Amino acid sequence: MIVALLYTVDSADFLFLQRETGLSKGNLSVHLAKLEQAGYVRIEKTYRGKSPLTLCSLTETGKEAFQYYWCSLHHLVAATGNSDEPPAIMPAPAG
Amino acid sequence: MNPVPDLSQRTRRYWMIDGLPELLIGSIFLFTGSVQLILLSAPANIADWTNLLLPLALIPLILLGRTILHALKIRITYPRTGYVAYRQPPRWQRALGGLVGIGVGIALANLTFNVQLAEAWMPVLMGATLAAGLGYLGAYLGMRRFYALAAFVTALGIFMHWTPVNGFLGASLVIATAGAWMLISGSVTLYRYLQHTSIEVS
Repeated sequence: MIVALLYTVDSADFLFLQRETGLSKGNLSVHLAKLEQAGYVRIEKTYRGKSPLTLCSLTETGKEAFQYYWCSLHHLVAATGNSDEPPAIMPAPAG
Repeated sequence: MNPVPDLSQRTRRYWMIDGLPELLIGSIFLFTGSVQLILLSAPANIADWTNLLLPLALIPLILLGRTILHALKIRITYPRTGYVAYRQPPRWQRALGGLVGIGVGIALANLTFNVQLAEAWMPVLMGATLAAGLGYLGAYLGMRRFYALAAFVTALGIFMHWTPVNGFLGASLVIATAGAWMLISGSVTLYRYLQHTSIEVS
């Protein structure tokens, strides 16, 4: 869910991800740390005015991994004959 | 089900979560429609000049509106529900969007001044143009209230055509009414957003 969300944007902050995923702060922190370790997510800690801001974005490796994951999932679903959706080399959405 | 288009639409919709962009667009529509309405009662020579200057006045107004919107988002939205940076569309896509906008503008001007479209049809044309834009926005963001507004301005344009308030006066009223609707719906959205969210302490 975190990677899928980050795939659709350029970057998002911790608060947005927490709200969209419904995870607790601690839980989300752990997930993000693991994704960062795997090289899928880039985490930048900065400030907006006096407030700390944690910005997260997908790395190229993360994007490729997500595309690969999505293609695999699609082919798996297609193989069961339950897919009526177009196949899936999925370009990163713009805008 | 493919979850990514749904998530893309959800993240795009997030931009409208606080009603602020709607307030900005509504203000611009209401300003444009109201100025046109005032100009219709002004002497012809003043109205002609101001009609030419209005589109030029709109550019700084839109730029100023964007700056104010950004400042308000920093103050109101980001501390409550978080910050998202959207991907910028590729340059060719932005250029294509600009060309389509210019094309629509030229087509409308041509319909208005060269084809000698009966003046009584102006509200219908304006309503249909606004409805097309709002319908696109509704589909892009997956927000039903824009479809409702599109249907309303179409109906209003057709209604104005059959009333004595047709012609340019009717078209201006369609723009101003669409702006007023957006201001109301933006205000309600902002009120509900502020009621249901609070500033998160880091």
